[in-house]
Amino acid sequence: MSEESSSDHQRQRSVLRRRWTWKRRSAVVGIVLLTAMLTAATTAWGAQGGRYKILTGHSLLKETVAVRTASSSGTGDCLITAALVANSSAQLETGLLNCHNGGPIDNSCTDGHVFIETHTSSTGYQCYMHGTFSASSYYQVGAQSVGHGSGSSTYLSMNGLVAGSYYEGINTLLNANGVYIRTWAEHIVGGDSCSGWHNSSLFTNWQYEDNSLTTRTLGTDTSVATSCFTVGGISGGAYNVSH
Amino acid sequence: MFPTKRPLAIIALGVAVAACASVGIAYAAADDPTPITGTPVMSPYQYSATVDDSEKPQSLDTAPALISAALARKGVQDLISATIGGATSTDARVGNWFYPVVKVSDADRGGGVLPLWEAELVQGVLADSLATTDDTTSGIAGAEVTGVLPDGSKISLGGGASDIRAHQVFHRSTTNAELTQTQQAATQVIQKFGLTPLSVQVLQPKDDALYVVAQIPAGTTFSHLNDLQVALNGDPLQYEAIYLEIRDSAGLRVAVTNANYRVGAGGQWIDPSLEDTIGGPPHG
Repeated sequence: MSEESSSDHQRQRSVLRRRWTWKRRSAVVGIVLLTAMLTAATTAWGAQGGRYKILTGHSLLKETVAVRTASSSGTGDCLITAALVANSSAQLETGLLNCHNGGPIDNSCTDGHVFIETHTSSTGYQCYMHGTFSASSYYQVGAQSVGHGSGSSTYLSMNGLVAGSYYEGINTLLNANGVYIRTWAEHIVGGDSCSGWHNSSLFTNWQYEDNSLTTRTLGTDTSVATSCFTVGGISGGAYNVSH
Repeated sequence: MFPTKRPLAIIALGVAVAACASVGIAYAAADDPTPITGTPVMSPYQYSATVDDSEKPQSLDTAPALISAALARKGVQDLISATIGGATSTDARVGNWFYPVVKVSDADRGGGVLPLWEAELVQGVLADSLATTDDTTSGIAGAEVTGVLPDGSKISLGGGASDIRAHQVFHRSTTNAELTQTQQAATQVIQKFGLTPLSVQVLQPKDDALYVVAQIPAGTTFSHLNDLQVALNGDPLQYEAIYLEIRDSAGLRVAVTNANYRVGAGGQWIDPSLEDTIGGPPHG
């Protein structure tokens, strides 16, 4: 790491530590609010399957996972294999987009591309592409907290991470209480039908780093969320999703 | 379009399903726990039917003039200023980064989409003009758009840059008569979908870009948002960018879609109550 990037990282950590005090105080409130939101939300969903974890009491610095789309089909469909970070006000998703005469998604991202999609109430969903992928390879995707600026104008953003480089991001995914990290496959076109298409996605080396500065592999401490998909049991940060 | 795409609903989905499937389903783990990961191939994507590579790349020195021209251009109302610099971190993609500042009259209900779109109009021209290869990211590698609210406070509107083929050729109205014709064609499409056109403008960051605001008449419903946008832009794509805003009969903004095919950016905001019925474009 260069001196400059090391400095950026230290500044980022320093900011997180300063924020930690009030975050601890508000942790209980945050968890209560999150629980209430979860209870109140709709139970309807489409075809999607994966695993997730809700981080409480820690700020997320980084989420990474190696993903691969082993196979997929479904005329007019798009299937994604992705990593996602979300809280109650924003969402950042990075992954592989596989379309079969379907798409684009968000009017811009097309078949065979690695994509980053942001979501806020101000700009809705916005999608960008960062290269093409091969179905025979794994690709590292995820999200990374990035420090910007200097002095009193220092701020952080959460940016999409592709093969070690970060790209688009948003700065409202910083709150420690209830940051939701997820990896999943999703059938995003074609309504709620569970028939007429298939998909097989692989996830491995799923890890995150929080503001305790420890990298943790996500395993049995994650939960399954699925509709139409079969989600495999996780072992060493690796699992399968198929339909 | 699935309601679960909203962050809150996604979280709820996870917990709700986990409650029913806490033991999971026995299934083999991925076949290789420590695979060698690949690097995506940065082959620039081309949306247009044709390209024109006769244009020589302009030097970075011309960027201020290009930005000034954009600021003075009729139809771009929200751009306050813009600069070009390096990336804000060494981990980011190397190259010229675009830092526009835009006015945001209201941040919620998709109010940031139009200023973001306007900033990306300028970014598209810069990326295309400065590109030294066939990839526009050799001109502009990334962007961070800052919005200024009416009270002076600032918000981030995101922004970015896909790997897009430089020098794409889109439809360009070269006379007033052609501009009028383009406007009329768009107006007719809007009316065919049962909407009332409130504003139809043809901006010309380089080639034509279409700005449309349309209203759902009282007593009617609208469920073909994506179809309308596709019909407006045609196949192959006619315009280098398109902004489509739908308002309800009371004038409230209920849906916005945007795209910029020089930047490789696009998106949508839809009132959550209409997300399953208005027929918006697919999203992740």
